[in-house]
Amino acid sequence: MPYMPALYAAALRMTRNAADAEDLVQETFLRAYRGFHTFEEGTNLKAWLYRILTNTLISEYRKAQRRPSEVDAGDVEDLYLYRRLGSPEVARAARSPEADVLDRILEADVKEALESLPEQFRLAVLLVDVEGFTYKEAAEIMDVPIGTVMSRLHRGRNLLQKMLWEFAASHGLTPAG
Amino acid sequence: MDCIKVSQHLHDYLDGEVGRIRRQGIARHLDTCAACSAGFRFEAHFRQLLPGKLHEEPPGELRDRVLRALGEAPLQGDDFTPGDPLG
Repeated sequence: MPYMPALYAAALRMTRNAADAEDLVQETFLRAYRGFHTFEEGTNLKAWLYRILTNTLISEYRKAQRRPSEVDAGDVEDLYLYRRLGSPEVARAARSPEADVLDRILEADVKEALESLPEQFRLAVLLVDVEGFTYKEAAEIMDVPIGTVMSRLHRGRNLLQKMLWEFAASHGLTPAG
Repeated sequence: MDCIKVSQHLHDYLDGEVGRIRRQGIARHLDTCAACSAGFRFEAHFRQLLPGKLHEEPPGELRDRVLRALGEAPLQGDDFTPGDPLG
């Protein structure tokens, strides 16, 4: 079953609940199976599967999904984490290079931070930064122009860093204040 | 190119998604600006860590559950080979 663990991980981040994620993965493979005669041999199977996942998410789950509040994207500065973690004061206080702080950021914090992003930003970050699709592939998967992908990525990445900073701070990984 | 412009395009640069002229401008700036260069290394490290922090182990029975559902699904056309792509 190609890409099943990756599809499950993406489904979990997008639906935010394991039961829905399993249903979404099953539905995705069912649709892929039924529609496989439309898949062009030699083209990108992974992108094709993610396109089906995205479409299924939109059509089946957006209606029914519980929607805990998503963080307002607002306008978050570039290099958000670096500007806080990378400063000499923080490095001295943490008694470790900023890279160590990054390494110690918990999986749970990263997952929670990503899941707090507005859906479209979250999907863009998942497709490009986690799954490694190009901007063009992500645009085809999301069925939007490349400029839209770039905008969602830019804001999504900055917001992700801001949320991570807040979660890390709440776990004492960064100096208070 | 100034630091603000560079920081706006840093991720695109990391992804190899900037045009040649902008790429050269950013590379030149990174060569000469210690702060932006450190920021670039930080972002590269963060991006490298991200997929690993988001790893999920699918539930053990999910694969079997999907295979069962596929087994019950009606075939689409005579030329389709079920075992082939999804095996």
